[in-house]
Amino acid sequence: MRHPTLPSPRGALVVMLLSAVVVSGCAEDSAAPAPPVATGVSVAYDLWRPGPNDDCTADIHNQYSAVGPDGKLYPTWHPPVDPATGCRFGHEHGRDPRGSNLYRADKPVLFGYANEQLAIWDPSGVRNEDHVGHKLEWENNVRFDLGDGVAGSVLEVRCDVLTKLHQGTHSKDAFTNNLHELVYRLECTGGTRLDMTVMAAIGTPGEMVQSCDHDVHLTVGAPTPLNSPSGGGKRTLPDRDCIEQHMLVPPGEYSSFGAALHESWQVNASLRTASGHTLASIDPYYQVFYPSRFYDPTLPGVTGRTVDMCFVTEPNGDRARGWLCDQATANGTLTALAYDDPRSPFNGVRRQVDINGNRISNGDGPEVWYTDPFGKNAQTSSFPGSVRQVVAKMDNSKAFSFRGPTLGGNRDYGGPGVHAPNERRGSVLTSHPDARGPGECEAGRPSHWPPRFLSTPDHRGLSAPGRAAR
Amino acid sequence: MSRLFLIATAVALFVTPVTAQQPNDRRGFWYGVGFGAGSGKLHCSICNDQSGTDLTASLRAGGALSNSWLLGVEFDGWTNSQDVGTRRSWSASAVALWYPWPAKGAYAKGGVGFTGYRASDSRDVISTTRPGGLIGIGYEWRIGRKSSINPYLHYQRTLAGDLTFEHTGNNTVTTATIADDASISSLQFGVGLVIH
Repeated sequence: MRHPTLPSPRGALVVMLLSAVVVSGCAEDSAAPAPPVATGVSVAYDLWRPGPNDDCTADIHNQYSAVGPDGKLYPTWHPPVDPATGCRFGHEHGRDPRGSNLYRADKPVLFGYANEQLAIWDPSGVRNEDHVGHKLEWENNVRFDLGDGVAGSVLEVRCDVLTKLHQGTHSKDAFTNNLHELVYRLECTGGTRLDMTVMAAIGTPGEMVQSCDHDVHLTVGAPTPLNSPSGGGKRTLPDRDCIEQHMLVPPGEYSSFGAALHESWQVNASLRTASGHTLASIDPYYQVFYPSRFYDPTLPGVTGRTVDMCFVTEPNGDRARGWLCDQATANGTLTALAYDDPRSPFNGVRRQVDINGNRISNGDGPEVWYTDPFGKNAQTSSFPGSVRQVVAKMDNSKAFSFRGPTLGGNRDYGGPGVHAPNERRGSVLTSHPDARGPGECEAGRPSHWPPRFLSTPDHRGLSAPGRAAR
Repeated sequence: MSRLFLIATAVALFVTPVTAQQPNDRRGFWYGVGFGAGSGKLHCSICNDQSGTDLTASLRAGGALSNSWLLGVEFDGWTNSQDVGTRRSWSASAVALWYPWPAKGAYAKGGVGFTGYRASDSRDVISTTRPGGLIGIGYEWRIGRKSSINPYLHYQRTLAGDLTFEHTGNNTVTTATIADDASISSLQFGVGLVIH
């Protein structure tokens, strides 16, 4: 077990000081690699702003950041409650990665790195995502399913898995936008190893699939960016029909919240060479239960609020009944509840990931590839906008299939103050506020650079691995 | 397996009273056959072989170098069928048997050879064949001028190497190496008849 630490303000300061010492005092043949020093900030950095229900400041939030391979500062995982100050961020990012065997302090999970690279790779196809949608899940030493044949009775594959998907379930973003940042790390007995970061194209841009009937494809509107490529898989999201079918029920019946409010983001992502050879492919399903919003084309913003459905009665007498609405209405004592109220149970904190299949066809190597942000055009050397990917030098495409289990289904990421997100900057950034090319980060620095914490060593006591405060 | 154990026990009980009167004289060509119980197991970084104990068979033949040393070849087999698939292991080894007390029947055995393992169902085959060695002990109770009842115990282990996965589907066969650290072990206990 490694002993990971999240980047902390104190750590960042130490890094800065050490770097200064190295630069000023060390000989050129110093064998120690220089620690990373931020040379700029990413678009994703400093994105979050507290809402009325949050008492952490943006400065405290920005302290949970890490330097990416491009030298820019990126936000990363943090607990819902800042352990040093006790303040509440009001949102969560899933499971604390520091317990994962695949987490290293020098390789944290960055939020928005693929998005940042996309802006370089294709300035006409910028796709930025909000902060709160980054959701992380992992498990160590999980046994994979080798099927019911002889492989399953003779062989056993165990893997460490860590994955992060930007999976916002509070806004209309996913109704049309199929590009979502995906981090997927896998290390298994037998040598299977994969570390990929891509902008996953999940399904068809501009379109979503009805969660309660996967045959119903709904064209919602123009995607961001307009040139979003289609991808495999689909995004099945609840809409008004699902609500009316399964949540608003006749007198005497109870709502089926699971049927009405179950999102399944079915990813089919791959890494491919320019010639089209697939080096690796995965098809995890990221599922969310009880999201805060649903698609309602009758509303001006096409975004219905789930919690509102606990307070409505249809003309025919149908209405929501059951435990979640009992919570939302405080057993009928409330007449309304804001969707972002921490008391609402429709906050998207119940999630699970079906890891499913993992295929690698890289028998000739190398193990390190550089792809465009979509995982295509893999080359052995980096290029502007490329993302470094690691694929084991092996070929399991002709061998037995091994499928990962479901992770996180037994966890509840709710916690003090966690609520459906709200943001002062609007739900989702759709344009690059300071689009800049490689080497242009100096011009892109915000006015408050460097971040305050770099000169303010303090607290963030997060060195011990463990789970997030719940 | 239980049936085999009963047979072996009955044979052993039957012949026990007539043993010990015959001298342990070992000359010229010898051969033997044995049956018993044992288990074979596949080892590798992705192996979790839960094979059970099942039927084994052994066949060996050779010549006597002296009353203390015998050389020969030995063929061993093991099979195990479970709900999912059948596992089989076999080996062919050159063996030497040493009788530390030539007048008695106790011996120790060592050998080198090749061992194969195959687990299969209707679609998939997992297999490997590896060089390895065996060690064993046994005792020969003379029941006649040239014949002995021979309870034995031996253990085999191979060197590590490639493990192959073969899949048959849609009238095509695909083969892949799924591990490079596979080895086989087997433990056998049996009772045989040896003719010297």
